[in-house]
Amino acid sequence: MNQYPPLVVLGERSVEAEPPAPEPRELAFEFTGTASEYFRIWIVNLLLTIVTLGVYSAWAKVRNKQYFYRHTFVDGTSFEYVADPVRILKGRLLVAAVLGAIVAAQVYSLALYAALLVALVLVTPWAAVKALAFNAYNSSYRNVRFSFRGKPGEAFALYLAMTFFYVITCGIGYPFAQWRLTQFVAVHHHWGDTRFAFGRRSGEYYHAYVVVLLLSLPLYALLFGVLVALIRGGETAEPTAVVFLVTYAGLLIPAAFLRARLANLFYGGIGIGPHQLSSFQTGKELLVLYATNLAAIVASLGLLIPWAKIRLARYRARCTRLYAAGPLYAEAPIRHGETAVGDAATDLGDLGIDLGL
Amino acid sequence: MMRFSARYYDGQSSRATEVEVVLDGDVVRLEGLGVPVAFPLRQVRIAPRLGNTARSLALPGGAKCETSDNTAVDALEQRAGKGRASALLHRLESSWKGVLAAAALLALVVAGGLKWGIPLLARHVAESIPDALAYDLGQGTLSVLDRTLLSPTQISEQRQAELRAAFAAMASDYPGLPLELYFRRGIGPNAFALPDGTVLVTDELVELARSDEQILAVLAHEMGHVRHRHGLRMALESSTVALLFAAYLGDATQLTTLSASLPAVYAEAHYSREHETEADDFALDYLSRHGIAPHHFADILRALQAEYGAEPEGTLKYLSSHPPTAERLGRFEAKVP
Repeated sequence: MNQYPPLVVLGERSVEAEPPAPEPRELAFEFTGTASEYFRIWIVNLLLTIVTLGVYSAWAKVRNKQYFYRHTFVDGTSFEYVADPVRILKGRLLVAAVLGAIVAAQVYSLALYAALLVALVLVTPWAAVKALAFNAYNSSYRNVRFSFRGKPGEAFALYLAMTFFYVITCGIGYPFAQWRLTQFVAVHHHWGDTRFAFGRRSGEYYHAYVVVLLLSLPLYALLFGVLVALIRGGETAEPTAVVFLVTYAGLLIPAAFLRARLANLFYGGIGIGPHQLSSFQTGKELLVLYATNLAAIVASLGLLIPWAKIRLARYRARCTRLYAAGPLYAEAPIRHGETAVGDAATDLGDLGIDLGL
Repeated sequence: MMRFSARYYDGQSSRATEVEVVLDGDVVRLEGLGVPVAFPLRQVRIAPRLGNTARSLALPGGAKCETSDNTAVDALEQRAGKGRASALLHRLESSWKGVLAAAALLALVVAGGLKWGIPLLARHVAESIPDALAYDLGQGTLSVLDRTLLSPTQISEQRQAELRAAFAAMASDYPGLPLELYFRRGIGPNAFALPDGTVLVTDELVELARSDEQILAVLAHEMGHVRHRHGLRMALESSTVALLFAAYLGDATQLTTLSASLPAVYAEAHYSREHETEADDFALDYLSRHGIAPHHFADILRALQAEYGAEPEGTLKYLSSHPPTAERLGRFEAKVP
């Protein structure tokens, strides 16, 4: 397991510890998509999806993803998403069939329903691994595919162990479980033959949660005060609107700060061979972005969703750097006949599981 | 002859080589690799155009050429006689006129779908489901309600028997429906139907009614719900609406969960009101056919309204699951036999 280059993380940027390393190049990620271009793709996707009663959604997904991949550049080259929409359609039909069966079971037999729910929970890690593998296999950079080689068995054991740990610690174990699962996801990714590494420790995840929790306390005190004042005051023109806003603020502000920290922990923790990613999103900027995006989406009845997504992608790219120790070079893994990893990855297609990292 | 520059990746490594792609008749030649490389055009897979993003030409054997010269690649695609669908898609996506037409069409399709399409579809699907399956629905709901909200009835056995007999006489008109009447206490004057044919009346409603006709009118309304399979239709309608909004909002749902649920709630309340009107139609029809004056239904509605107080007004009335009582009263009172 310990074949990763030794990484010095904490505080400073991780740097490869080999002696002749040249000064690492700092490579910016750049997102070049525009709202007006993406809006047109988005609305056509949507129209065709609805007119075809959802069948086109698989093609829409590929087109959508391709748009963001092809517009994300690092070191002068963009990423490529090469999934076959037919496989995605098959994956979606499978998910629809399973959900349909569960809904039907709920109506006709509660025992069967409960059994299916348990089965669904048990099958989740397997499906998540398949989805990660599919997504990685269909992502490429300079015509070298990524891959995810985590074993479903390992994912299953880890998932059970972490769920158990989370439950017996009454939730205090959550940051640890999240760190462990994130690590599993990260270190099993490869770009060609180059392994990913993950240089974070569980303590850093605890730190993120504790800081956000402490920051949230005065906020919740303030919001609580506002609510109490409202109820005491009695006569307000639109109490529901204020309660709505207060609730949203209470959800959105801590979420933005936590998201920024978790994104930095994740992306900034990733090493790709001798190279190291770094991420510096801030809660304040993310909050402004979320709040303005939300307001724009609501006010435009959803028409500004493409604009919101482009802004977010641009911000994420702007806050990510790659410290490249030498040229970005990877070789495709040696193929045994047909692509061994690919076969396992593509027999199911994309299940639409997003880990939200 | 056609020529453009591209970056060549052999597929074995990430190393890039600048090449010139030359189309010579039906053969694609690459210049700049040191060795002559050529493929028949029909073996080259061209990635679909997407805005002005760089596209790749996948060559047999796993190598790729990437270029942002979209005009040249379009011409190449045309020469190969491929990519008509993707070219059409791109043309649609690149003209604002086309996009605005798409947006207008989308608005029409969604509005029409919400108002007529989804209810129509739900009705057809619900009616095509065989009886045995349709009325299996919701079994066990009553026992759950018994454990949570409802308590046993306190209506005398004799009174129950009277009402059951009247109900059985009504039900005999609809031999296909597995109708059964239950009495329970505990949630105020109310009556409801479950999709499996259970019709439930509360003690409070029986006590509120001034005559048996009033109770029968309510029962007729509830039978209408069972007859039209409203439970099943509601399930179909609300799940379709949920899917529709999921498609629209996509990834944005995380941000807009609270505000996204509101339009769906509006739509569902609209369907519910339509179902109530349909059940009212059923009751009106039943009452007139059996010589019961329709005003009995209006009378009990008025009594219920007095019991429950004012209804929501303004925009809030669009969130109501039932049509305004005044509107419902009008339909039953206009029809004096």
